[in-house]
Amino acid sequence: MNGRCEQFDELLTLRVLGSLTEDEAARLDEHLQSGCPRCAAELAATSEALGLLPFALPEVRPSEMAKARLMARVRGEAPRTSSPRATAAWWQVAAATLVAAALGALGGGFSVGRKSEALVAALHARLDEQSAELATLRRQVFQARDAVRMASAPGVRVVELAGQQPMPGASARVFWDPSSDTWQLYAANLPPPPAGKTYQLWLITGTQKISAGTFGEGAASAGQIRVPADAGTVIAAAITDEPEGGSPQPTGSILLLGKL
Amino acid sequence: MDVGDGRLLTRIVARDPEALATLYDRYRGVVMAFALRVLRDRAEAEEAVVDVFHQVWRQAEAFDAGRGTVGAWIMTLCRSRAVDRLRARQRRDVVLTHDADDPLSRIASTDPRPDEHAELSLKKKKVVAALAVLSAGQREAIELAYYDGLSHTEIASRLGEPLGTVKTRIRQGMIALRESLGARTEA
Repeated sequence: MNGRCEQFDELLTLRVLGSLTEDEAARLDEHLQSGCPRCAAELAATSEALGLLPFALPEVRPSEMAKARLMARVRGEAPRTSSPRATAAWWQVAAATLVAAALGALGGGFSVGRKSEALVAALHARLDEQSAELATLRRQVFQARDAVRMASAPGVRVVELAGQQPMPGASARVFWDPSSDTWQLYAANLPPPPAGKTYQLWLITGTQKISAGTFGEGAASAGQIRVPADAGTVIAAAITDEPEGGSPQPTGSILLLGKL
Repeated sequence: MDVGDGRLLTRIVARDPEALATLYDRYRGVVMAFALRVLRDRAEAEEAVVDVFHQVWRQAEAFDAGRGTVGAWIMTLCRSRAVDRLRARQRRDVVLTHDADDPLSRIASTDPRPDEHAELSLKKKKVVAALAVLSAGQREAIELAYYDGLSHTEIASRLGEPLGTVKTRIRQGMIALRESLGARTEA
């Protein structure tokens, strides 16, 4: 705690923002490790203040799938700490016991055990992260490829769908390519369909409502539709909720609607 | 009444998945909003949300109540996960040519029915009021650093302002923000 402390204020903010250079980080760490209570408190206060900023954002609800993935990950992990030991072959147990005894004799058994456990946990975590990242990447590549193809193809029609009474906050954009009979849909604020129900997309002409197929949750969906030549001009697109499997003609309420 | 965050964290340390589920339900709207603000991509923001709460599960023991609130701790985790993802994406942008201003990313708009939680909405009001104290320039500079993960130099070139000006804005903005938040939390 001295007059030089204030020179660290800027570094403390940068530390919380994660944009310190290596030199700066080293300088700040040296100072913090010297046990300066003033700068430690400053760091905590800065971190707390910045940590409150996101509370000013309008909340956005993640899909139910996100929670399901989280809970599956967490529950899948619970037995991890005990099962490898339970299923280890006798010689592994024996070897581990011998090693532990030897290390214990050296007085280092506990910390080595803890370290390798932490290492395994860290490796597991890293593997989880990378698999998740790979899955995201793969999905994004496909989505990006499809989106680019769809948006750049000649003759593709774009329909903006607005949420109707049951869900006024929902919106969606549909790309329909009559030449390939395909469509893509990007939805926002569309909650997952209730149990036993599915969403169904329709193209509407003056005389017909033609099913484009069903879709469930997720921001992006795609499918196929063939509009018969005698159906007339497509004037609108709509999304209804239907019993699982979909309906030949709409039976549910119109949730989103847009004119072509 | 609601179980406090601290109690939930204690139960998470004791490996109680229900406690994690409750904490998730409480903060998911804010964490998702935060991740989406940084990443501007709904699918990727959701991945980040899952990662953040998974990290809460794994590192609940590391939380130090003496250094701040559970909410701010979660936001710190969220920011580093989201900014890491943002930077990773910028590195591979060459392949994907992902545009942050892509209208498809932006149609993921806000939740019209935010999660109801009295303590959080109180906090929200405080932060909105505290931010109102900052000048537009201070707020913009802080948000570019915090949400977009930009360094001071990058902010300066983005805004076309001298580096010194940006540093001053962030510094003074932080002082004003902390004073305003401090005054309000103690009140």
